[in-house]
Amino acid sequence: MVLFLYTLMLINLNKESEPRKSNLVKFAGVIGGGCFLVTIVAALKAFGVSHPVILQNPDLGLVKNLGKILFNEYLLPFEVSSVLLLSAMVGAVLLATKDPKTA
Amino acid sequence: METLTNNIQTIPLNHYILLCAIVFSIGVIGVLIRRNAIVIFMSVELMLNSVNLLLTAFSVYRGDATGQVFVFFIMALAAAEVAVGRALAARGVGGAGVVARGLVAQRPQPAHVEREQRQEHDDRGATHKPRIAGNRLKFNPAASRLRRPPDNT
Repeated sequence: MVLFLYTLMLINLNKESEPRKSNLVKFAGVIGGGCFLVTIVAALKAFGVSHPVILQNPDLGLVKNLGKILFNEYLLPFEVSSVLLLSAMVGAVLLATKDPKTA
Repeated sequence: METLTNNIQTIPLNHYILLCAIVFSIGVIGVLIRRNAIVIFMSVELMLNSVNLLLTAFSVYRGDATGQVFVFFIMALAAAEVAVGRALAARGVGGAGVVARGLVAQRPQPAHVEREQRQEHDDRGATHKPRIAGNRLKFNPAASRLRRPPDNT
């Protein structure tokens, strides 16, 4: 999120750089999002009563507990996500460097 | 502090789901109505964060730490996305909404329709904007409306 704000500062979003979108598309987007929200809220209302969220086990969110789960059951997804981050880094560097033809 | 914790423990699960639904809908609306690629990325991150909140709420509700582990993975995904978005912005692509026009806002049109449209534009003497044909992404900072920020070096 901070990186995005930094980017916004960098590229200086103002009125004229914002591409125009027709009002019809905006209206349709708002209507669609509103329908989505109404559907979810109605489903939630139909679902009935809800119990309060009570933390039964105070050790649940501790780093020790989470680390045990992360490195035992979810070791493979952890490694795969490291590959994802590496590929994102390589892609970002490739995109951010100048083209050798144009530079 | 103790009363705050006690108050938090009385919040029912439906309120969490309601909040997450609202934040998620804001993200969906943002993706639908904005054309700027960077702002679309921000909206997607809003959706990811609402799902994060929901995962943690259910994790506490069920007393199962798996949800919080999934939150880690979603955060890693968001970080990767931010890195790519930042690189796109550094090339001056995101600000001009070229990516948004090619990927989200406009369905890829057949080549002949696009050619006709371009000729129409030329006939009227208007300078047509750089267009991305189909789904192929071509990052051309010179053609985008927003230039790279000038280097000081």
